Amino acid sequence: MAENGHPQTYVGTRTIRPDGIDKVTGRARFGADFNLAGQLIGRVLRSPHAHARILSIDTSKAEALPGVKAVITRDDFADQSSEFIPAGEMMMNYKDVVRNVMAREKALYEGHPVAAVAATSVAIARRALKLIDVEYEVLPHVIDVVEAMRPDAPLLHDDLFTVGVEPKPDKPSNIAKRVEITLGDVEAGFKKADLIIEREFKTAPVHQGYIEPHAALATVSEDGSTELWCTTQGHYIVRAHCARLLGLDIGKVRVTATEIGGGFGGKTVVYLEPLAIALSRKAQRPVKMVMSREEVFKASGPTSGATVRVKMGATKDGKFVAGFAELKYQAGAFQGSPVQPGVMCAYAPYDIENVKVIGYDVVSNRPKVAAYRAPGAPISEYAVESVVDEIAKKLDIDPIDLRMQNAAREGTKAAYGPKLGPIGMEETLNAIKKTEHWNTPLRKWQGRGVASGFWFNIGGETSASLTVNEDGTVSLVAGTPDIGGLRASLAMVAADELGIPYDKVRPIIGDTGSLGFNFLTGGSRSAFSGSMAIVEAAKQIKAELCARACKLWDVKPDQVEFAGGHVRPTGAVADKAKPMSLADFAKVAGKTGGPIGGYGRINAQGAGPSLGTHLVDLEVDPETGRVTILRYTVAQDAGHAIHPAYVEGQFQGGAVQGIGWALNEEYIYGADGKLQNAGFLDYRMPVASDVPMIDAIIVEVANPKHPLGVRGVGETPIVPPLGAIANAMENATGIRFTELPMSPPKVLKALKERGLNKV
Amino acid sequence: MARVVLVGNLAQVTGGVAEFDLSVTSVRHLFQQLSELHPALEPHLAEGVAVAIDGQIYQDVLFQPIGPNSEVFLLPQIAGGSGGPPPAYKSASVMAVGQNWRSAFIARTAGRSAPAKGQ
Amino acid sequence: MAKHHIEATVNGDPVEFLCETEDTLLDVLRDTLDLTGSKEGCASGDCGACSVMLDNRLVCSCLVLGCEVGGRRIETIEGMASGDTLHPLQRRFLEHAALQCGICTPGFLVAGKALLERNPNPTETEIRYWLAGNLCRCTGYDKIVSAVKDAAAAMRKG
Repeated sequence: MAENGHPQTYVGTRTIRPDGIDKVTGRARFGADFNLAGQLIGRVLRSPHAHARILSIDTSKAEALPGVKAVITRDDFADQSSEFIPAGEMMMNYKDVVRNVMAREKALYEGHPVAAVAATSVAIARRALKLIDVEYEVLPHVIDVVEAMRPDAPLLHDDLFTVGVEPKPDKPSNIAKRVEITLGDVEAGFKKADLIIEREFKTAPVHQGYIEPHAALATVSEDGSTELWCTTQGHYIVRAHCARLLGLDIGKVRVTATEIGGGFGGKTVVYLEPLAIALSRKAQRPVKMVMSREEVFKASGPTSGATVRVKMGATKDGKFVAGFAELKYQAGAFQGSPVQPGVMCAYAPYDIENVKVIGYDVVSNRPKVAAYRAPGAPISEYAVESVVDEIAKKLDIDPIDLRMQNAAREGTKAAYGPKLGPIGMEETLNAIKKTEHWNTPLRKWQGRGVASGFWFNIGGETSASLTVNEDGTVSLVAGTPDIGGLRASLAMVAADELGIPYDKVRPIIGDTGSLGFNFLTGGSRSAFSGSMAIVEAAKQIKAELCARACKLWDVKPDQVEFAGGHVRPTGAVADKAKPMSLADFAKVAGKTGGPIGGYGRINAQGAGPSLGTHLVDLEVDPETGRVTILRYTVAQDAGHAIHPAYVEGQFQGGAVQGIGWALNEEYIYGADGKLQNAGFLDYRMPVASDVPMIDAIIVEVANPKHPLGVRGVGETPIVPPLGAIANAMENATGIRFTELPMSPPKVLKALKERGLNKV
Repeated sequence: MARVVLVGNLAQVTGGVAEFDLSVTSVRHLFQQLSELHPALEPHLAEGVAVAIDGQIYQDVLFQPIGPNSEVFLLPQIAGGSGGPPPAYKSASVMAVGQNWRSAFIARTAGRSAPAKGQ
Repeated sequence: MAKHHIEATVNGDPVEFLCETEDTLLDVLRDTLDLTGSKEGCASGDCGACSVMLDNRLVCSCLVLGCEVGGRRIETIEGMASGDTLHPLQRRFLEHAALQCGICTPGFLVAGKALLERNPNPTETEIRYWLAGNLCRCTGYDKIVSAVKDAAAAMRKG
């Protein structure tokens, strides 16, 4: 029994996931594994130019090609008025969404969709694309964020006026927004500092890198009812976007989320789905669309590249007295970079009296950015953690002790306003300090780095149902796609709450027709919110069973209790009847009132931040600039781990994504604005031989707002690696790298400049 | 009275006024009062703000109670709440005549830096 | 251009299919033979999600043409379990939570089986380098390596 009174036979153990067998046998069906009889293949024609006005589109030759059943362009989508909507953990504007899905006035990045066809075979579809004549007026383009902010930069949108500056600008620019948070008075704070360090950092766009490309299969009936299968983190969101863009009633669109081969935030928006539906509606046949890997890189959102300036002040005893930062984030072709959360998280792990962080959201001619695991935070926290490390070195204070001294704790006023509840910053620092890893000596050219990270986590609208079947087994329906073990976690919670064996609970992810609204899987929310909804559904079932027992046994409500999977009479009437299990009630369900079930419909609140601290040892080869990660330890606060192995998996996966981001991944553009490394060979992500075992330490500082103490854990793991690895590089080479990635050519160049490139 | 603070760009909409002392009992009540005082705030409140009440962050919870001594922060919506389109802009609901809300509102500007000029 | 008529063996069963010259073995497996267990992640041989065995050799099926496999033996993920008995690797992947989204899992299992058939007692380094042709973005590889080591030990015990 847990402290909070909730039973725990399964929660906290390492069960086998119920959807696992299908995934190890190839039976599980992902987005591209679905087919419908008579389906057509859809393909997209994409702009070859980074920036161009679209003067005309002639599809007549393509339409005339035998085998082509439909062609769509901007004319098939009604324009949308400006309206902001939440999308993952960022905001998007429907006016921009319709233009990103299909270009209207301009092509704003290489890869921007300009037209699409549906044909009876891939070969015919490809030929049809070649027959579409598009007249472009090529315009000068801009890629770099600082370049894009210049007043004479090529302008992407002539109706984009910077929000958040006074006086309001009368000329449009590429700067969509300026945001700011302020706490105390940084100027006064800097006057109190004995040490001030100021640095500028630069990061490049990186892609979420999911192995499964985007895929969608749509079929539209003659009355407009639409069925869609797609790989997505949020099928209710897809439904809402498609209904809006295509002018359909939401209730007429039924979306099934297939198994999803990775998302990390990148599958929280629509790309192919509205196109597939539009083509199917026109062709009156099902249409299947799958992106190639090149299309994924060129036309789905990476995260921002950025320029970040950080200035921190500390007393000689190591107390942080002032923290300033200025962030410039690329949004891609349309506004909406994660600069806001980047601003809010920059100093969040610390208790600093005086903080000022400014952020700019800047558009440029590259794909619109999409969320990527703790959007915005890895960039700003990389910069701050690097400067914290420099402070530690200059003041000769142990880097963990310095962070401990300034750690945010329960009651600390966050720079973005409210006081924090209980959080595990100190606990994760202590956990790292106690490891054998921290105390192992290093050799020449080896370096050790540590960094901490903060992410908010969210709750949101969640619906989940539990139904007791006639034999006492329980069907569980959740509405957030399972990207890494959710079904196992929810089944464990249901089994514990109802006191039944884990294998008697069968979880599925329902389609949009099965449940009320569910916000998407993201924001580290699916286990957090889903388990809350399941606890609620289970409560309803238990109350229902107790009510029926009262009627069956003719006793009063305070004379029955639910425990260990049974309802039993208590107190004076304890001997009146034998306890009844779920299966017993299920046998007589019809006679006692009807089917038994619970339906949790909530807007989950109370998500608690997850703090993490990472420790990394690495070795630099001075002759090649190659960096080898020798050892890596993650300590992160999970509140309460429902399934420890999948929590560890989140820590390890996020850490390795961070390793890739820090050491090698980046979008490389040519002078023509075209992406040069749109494939896994040249966009090189870490492989098994690049990394060691990742030690994972689960810290548990219970979240008081969740019935089981759970915190979301999925995103925080990608926040500390950039800083930890940069700090380890400084430790190994004496060089502070302020540009990511620290790839071999860059490392070698820096070593050569200092005459250090020999063993 | 609840102490209400606007974080980030929201204060720019009110001409620099970032702190209020208001007699409000729920988030919806708070949004109504703020919209009355500063109509330019109304679309931002409709669009989506996060509300931190005594340290706990809430999103999309109109009926969440606010206590008489609560500390409330309005933050930009850092994460999605309802995924459906937000309600179309509506004009602020009219306060009943006779409510003396003016006496309940005290503006403070001390300690807040002025909005940035240009970039 | 007439299609090619190919006869081959897939997971021990004789198969017969028609394909265009440019169709890859992966296209044939997924679209013609309805064996969707092998996945397309890149179509350029860089991610290993399409890994299959061709005459007992580990290959990326996206780099093999359908018309090249006449008379040859192909083994895919669908043939890994024997009846309702999972291969030790499949079992260990489940026990070690060595999969999160699962898209790369068929490729890793086929590659892992190929490794253990050649080297029944691989070191961690040997495992990592053999599997370097398979990309995973979710797990960070840690639990995959543990699962392979554990399966190797179980298989050595017999």
